[in-house]
Amino acid sequence: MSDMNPDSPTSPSAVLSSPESRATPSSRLGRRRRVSRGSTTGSLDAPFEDDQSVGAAADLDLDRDEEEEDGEELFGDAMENDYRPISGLDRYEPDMLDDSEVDAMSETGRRAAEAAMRKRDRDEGRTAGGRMRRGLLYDESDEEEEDRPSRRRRLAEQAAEGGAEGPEDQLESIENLEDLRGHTVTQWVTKLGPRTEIYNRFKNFLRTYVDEKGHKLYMEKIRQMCEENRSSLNVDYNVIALKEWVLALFLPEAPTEMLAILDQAAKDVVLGLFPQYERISKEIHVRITDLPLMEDIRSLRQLHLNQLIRTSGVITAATGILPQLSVIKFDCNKCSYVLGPYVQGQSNEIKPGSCPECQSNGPFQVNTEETVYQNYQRVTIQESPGRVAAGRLPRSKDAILLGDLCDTCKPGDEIELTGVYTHSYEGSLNTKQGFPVFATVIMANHILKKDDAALARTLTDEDVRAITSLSKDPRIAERIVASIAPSIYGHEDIKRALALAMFGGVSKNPGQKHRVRGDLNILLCGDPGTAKSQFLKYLEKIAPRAVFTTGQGASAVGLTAYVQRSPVTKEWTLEAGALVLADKGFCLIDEFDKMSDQDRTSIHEAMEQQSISISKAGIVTSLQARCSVVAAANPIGGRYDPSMTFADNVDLTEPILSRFDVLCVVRDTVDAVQDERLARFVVGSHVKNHPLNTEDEEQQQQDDMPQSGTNLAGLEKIPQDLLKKYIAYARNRVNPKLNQMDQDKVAKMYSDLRKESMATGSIPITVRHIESVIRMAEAHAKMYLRDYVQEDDVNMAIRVMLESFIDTQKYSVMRSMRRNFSRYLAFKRDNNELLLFILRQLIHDQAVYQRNRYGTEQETVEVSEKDLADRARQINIHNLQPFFTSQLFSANSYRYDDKRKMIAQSI
Amino acid sequence: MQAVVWLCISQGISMLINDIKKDFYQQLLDQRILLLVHCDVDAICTSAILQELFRGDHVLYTLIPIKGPDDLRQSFKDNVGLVRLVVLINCGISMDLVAELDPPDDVIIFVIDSQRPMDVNNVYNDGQVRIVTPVTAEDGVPPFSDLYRSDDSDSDSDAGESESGGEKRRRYDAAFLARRQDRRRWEERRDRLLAEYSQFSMYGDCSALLAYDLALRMSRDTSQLLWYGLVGLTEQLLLRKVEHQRYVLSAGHYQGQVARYGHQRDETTSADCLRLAFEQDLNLVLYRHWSLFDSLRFTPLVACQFKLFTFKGEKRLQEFLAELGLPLVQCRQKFASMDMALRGQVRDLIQAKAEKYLLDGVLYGAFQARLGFRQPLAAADVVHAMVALLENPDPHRSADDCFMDALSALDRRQEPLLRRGIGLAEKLAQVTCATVQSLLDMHQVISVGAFLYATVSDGEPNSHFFARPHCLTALAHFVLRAHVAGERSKRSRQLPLILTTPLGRDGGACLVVGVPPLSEQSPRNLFGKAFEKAAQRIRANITPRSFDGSVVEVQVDDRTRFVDALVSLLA
Repeated sequence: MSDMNPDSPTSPSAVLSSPESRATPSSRLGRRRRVSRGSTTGSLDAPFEDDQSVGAAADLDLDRDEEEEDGEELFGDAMENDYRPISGLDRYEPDMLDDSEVDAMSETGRRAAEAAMRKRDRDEGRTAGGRMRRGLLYDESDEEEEDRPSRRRRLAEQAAEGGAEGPEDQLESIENLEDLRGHTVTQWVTKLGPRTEIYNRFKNFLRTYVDEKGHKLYMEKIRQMCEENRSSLNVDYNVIALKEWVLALFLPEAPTEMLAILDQAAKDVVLGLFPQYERISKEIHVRITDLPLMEDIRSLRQLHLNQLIRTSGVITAATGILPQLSVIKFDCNKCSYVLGPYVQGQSNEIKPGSCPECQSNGPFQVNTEETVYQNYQRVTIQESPGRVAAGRLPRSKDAILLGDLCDTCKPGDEIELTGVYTHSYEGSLNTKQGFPVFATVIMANHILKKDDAALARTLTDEDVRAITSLSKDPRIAERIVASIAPSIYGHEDIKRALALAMFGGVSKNPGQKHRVRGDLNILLCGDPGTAKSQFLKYLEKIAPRAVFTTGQGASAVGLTAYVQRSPVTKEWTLEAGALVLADKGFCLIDEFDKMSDQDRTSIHEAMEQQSISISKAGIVTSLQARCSVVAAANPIGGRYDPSMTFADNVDLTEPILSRFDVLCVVRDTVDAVQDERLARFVVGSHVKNHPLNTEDEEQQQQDDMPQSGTNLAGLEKIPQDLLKKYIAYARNRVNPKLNQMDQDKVAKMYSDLRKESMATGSIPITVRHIESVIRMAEAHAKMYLRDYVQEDDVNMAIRVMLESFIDTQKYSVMRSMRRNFSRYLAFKRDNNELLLFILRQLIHDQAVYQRNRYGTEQETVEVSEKDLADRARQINIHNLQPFFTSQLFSANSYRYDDKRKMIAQSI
Repeated sequence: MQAVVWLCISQGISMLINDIKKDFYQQLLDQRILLLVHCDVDAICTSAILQELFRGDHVLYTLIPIKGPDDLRQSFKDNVGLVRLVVLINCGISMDLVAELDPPDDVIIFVIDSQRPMDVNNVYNDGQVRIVTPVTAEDGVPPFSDLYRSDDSDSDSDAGESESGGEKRRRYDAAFLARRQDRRRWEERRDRLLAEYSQFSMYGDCSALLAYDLALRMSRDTSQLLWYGLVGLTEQLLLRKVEHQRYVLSAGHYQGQVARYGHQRDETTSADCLRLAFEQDLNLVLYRHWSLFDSLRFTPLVACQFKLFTFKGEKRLQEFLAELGLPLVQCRQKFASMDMALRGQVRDLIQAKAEKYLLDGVLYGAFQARLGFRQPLAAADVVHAMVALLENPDPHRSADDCFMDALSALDRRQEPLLRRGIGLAEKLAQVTCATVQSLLDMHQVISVGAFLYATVSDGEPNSHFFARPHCLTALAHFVLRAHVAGERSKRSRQLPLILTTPLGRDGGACLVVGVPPLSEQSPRNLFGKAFEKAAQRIRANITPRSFDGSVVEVQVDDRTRFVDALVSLLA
């Protein structure tokens, strides 16, 4: 179109100051008509919900235009007086007018000509890239339009006649919106023409966008938003980029201006759907999600100033919510005239010049009654601890949250922040540096919390379906256990304990008076090189909100909370420590024994009461620390001595030991067969996980990996992503109830345990352990996504509890105890596993015997079947044949000699 | 006496008591009276008006609450020795009083009852039973001549006398044969008429307004008495005893009275006086005392229209509120604390959108009372509170205590009691809604051919709430409505519902209630007779818990057989 109308764009100011300023009223009128018609025609190709919205939109447009033209209005009234009829000048310049020629055309001829022009336009549109909307006929900016009133009038007439042309032709808009005409993006989008175009396009986008399933996604979202009375509309940047790429192009470049336009458009659409929504929320904010480029806080540079950026980090501090001036009115002190309203921007302070009533220059006072405020909060976002490169301090940035974003996140939250990176002048910084530098701040637009609940909320229907179908698997608990830390061989007891901890029990709060914790605490203790730290590291990656510390690197206040003077408000503020940051998550403490006793005692409260009470520097408060503590410790002297009890083995006090629900003793025992399998596993794991390996190879090598020799073997592992979702789902949505629990069983076990504990004096058994059993039963029920805790869950909980207890005993009493409790322990171990366990013991004894008797070089170890049968009979297993033929038997390289009734294992 | 009755019938208006003042009230003066009052709101209101009148005339009376037919028999027997005049309020008109109660000859029983049909023996009684409630043509009582034959006794005695002697002779007597045939035909006709007449149980005009009319006749009416009457009227609407049109007609009639009291006030009238008003109001449960959100959620009409028991339903309700422009925060707080500007508009806003959301009937003409500067009190609120007090689930309160609570809640000086009642009613509404949800979720409403059947299971934590007739009936209505709303097939609209719930007591009995289908416009109920017949068929023992027979007690062991019998009966 521009080639047909070759006059260069003139700036609006030029038009205004030109002698033809009398053309302005008509142009304004015309513009109004154009805008309103633009939206009406928009409705023709967009199926609107109701017509009311169109009217509202048009009205709003008018208002906006009028606002826009405030500058013109200044001489709008006086203009009439300025005008003096001069017949010589009172006509249009002939060279700018071409109406005579057009008027002469016949109706049909004109239509033919227009059709030809349309066709050409369409062709050009295709050759120009083919990505623009068809039929965006006019691409001139507003100042050009002034030259073409007759044309527009004709179009209006046509529209009134019923529209001989297709609807697309009537949509007057700027086709090449991306053509900046030499302006910067910011300048361009503030101009009225592009602005209206952007406004209309976005509105159209919201109304007509249909996702691949055929839903009108954004209309649905708006409806949803309104249902919940929120005022934030999340719009996916990638979708904008797909449908309205020009908007997506402008958005990161001129975010502040663009967002203002988008907000307005979104509000119009909302009011179209819910005409009364203004009463609920005055403003609608468009929140841009999924901006493709993610910047680290560290990498923010001058380049990013005034751009839309997306970054991630942890909130470390947040101020209270303060009221910020939004629309100000001033009182004139002299004549008490109310000045304003002025809209307060984010950067500068507004000072009225003089009073329009009495012309005084002030001073003015803010009128507190009529001024409108908005919520304002300043938060500090710091790089996530995990993302800071080694050897660097984490950097932080301030972010400003306005309106409904306030209080969406709190210190300790890991968030993804989308916002405008802006700078502001700060005097103090200058004096410090000696020359002008600027303080930077992020004006937040969208905040995504990366916590558990958010993950659970983002679960798609397919995910939920996958999760529920997974939960139907009768062996899901075993599969979950097998999928925990798949790169670590063996250690099923630890894996089981960690799995239970990840699912967690149900916390209760009888009468809202005191909480009973639902989180499980676990202590891993054992010989070096038994993958304790690996487990912790694994948890850190997969568990929700995990905070990793080591005993040496953590101080008492660092674990709990410390008091600091806030740089913003100069008040004492609390800064959260590791346990508080891990609220509703996991606190992982490595080298637990290396901590000083003083520091360790500071977490007593956190572990049982799950709160941290502070009374420092005038701050008396209690912080929530609802986290599971998973700690790893080394025994005294480096190695676990099985001839001593657990308490003697570790340098931990009774109070802290009793707070752990499960104590896992990891012993590094020499077992030729196991060791060989372990070695193969480790080698296999290294081969498999080579960075250059492709997926296929991995898959193939997966099959070659040796399976651990227990009943977890042969289970299909759950992919880690799905496992994570499964855990998030179970933690958030499933709250199993204790119903008709076998109380006698728990009571019996508790009294038995107490008795044994008194006798052997290893670890103290306290009431806490009953709660532990309940918690574990609940956690186990959660694995199956059950609504009620069943017999199975209780049995499993008791088994884990007892295993943990027995492992802590002296070797001498361990065996007898195992026998005493065997009926509990036998749960869910199938017979084969039990038999294998017995057989392994027998073989071990035999091997020791042979080694002592015949020296170390023994090829095979043999035991007679009768021995095994005797032992098996003690635990009520009478038929050994299935065991001999089982995979488990051969997998552990045992052979059964039918004739000699001997079982042999080659070493 | 028979001649008098005959006269009445032949005149077309079968009214035993023509002048309610002369023939009823004047008779009561100077005598000790036994007031037997049924446990329902209408009856309580009636008794409240009568008591007010009695107090003015220094009449001694004994008031006894009546729960059911058995209770009536027992109370009557226990107390009849002391008095000569008995007034039954909302009880007993459907049973043959002379036969059932066997009153001594000098005892006169006055009956004020809104229930229909009346037992014909009461209508045509020779003076011992006097029905105060006007008998209108609408009631369709079969004419006297169709029910009683003057030659009955003669021919019977004749037959008895000459049974042996003249038998042979008569066998061949053509005239006798013809008479006998004629008589058989007449008897068939009578049985048919009676069966048709008593097939459905329903309700007529409310008793409380009758009592108010009495006060009006005697020029002793006050706004307070009118309020009692209106509460009684509103109860009939809320508990679906009468159809909506009938309520509108009555309300229109008494609106004039309301306006009359309004005109009487002037500058000097204190704000503490009771002020009545009639205006369009939202038909939402207790919304003035609750939050709008909860009230919407627990109102059967809204809940069923939005299908609130589904996940989408909640969203639809929120969308509705968003469209009205009511912020959720405001809706969730007590209605009384809502923003003034919004509160004033709520009614109009909902009215404007009611059509779009198919909330037909969310507005109705309602009576309100204002006391002082408090939130006005709608008659419906009082009814809800009284029903809740009357059927208080608290096991420590006896039935008589509950009755007295409900009676005194009417009194404006007993405001705390009313507040407690409102609290209870809120709880009841919540529980009802939750139970409906669980019944639907568990798919426990099943279609067994001619009707729908559901059971509130024993394990339901709130089942003790429903061990009382009104609550159970309300639940049944709600369940039926919700089920129909959730069901796609049109058929369920035409089906009635039978709901049973275990009685908490250890008798092993359960309460069975039947409600008419949704498509039925008038709330007439055929289950009274059906239950009776089904029980006869299986020879089970059922105890009617209400006078209309649609709420009965059945042994749990008999329940399945009972339902089976009903299925075959109604098929």
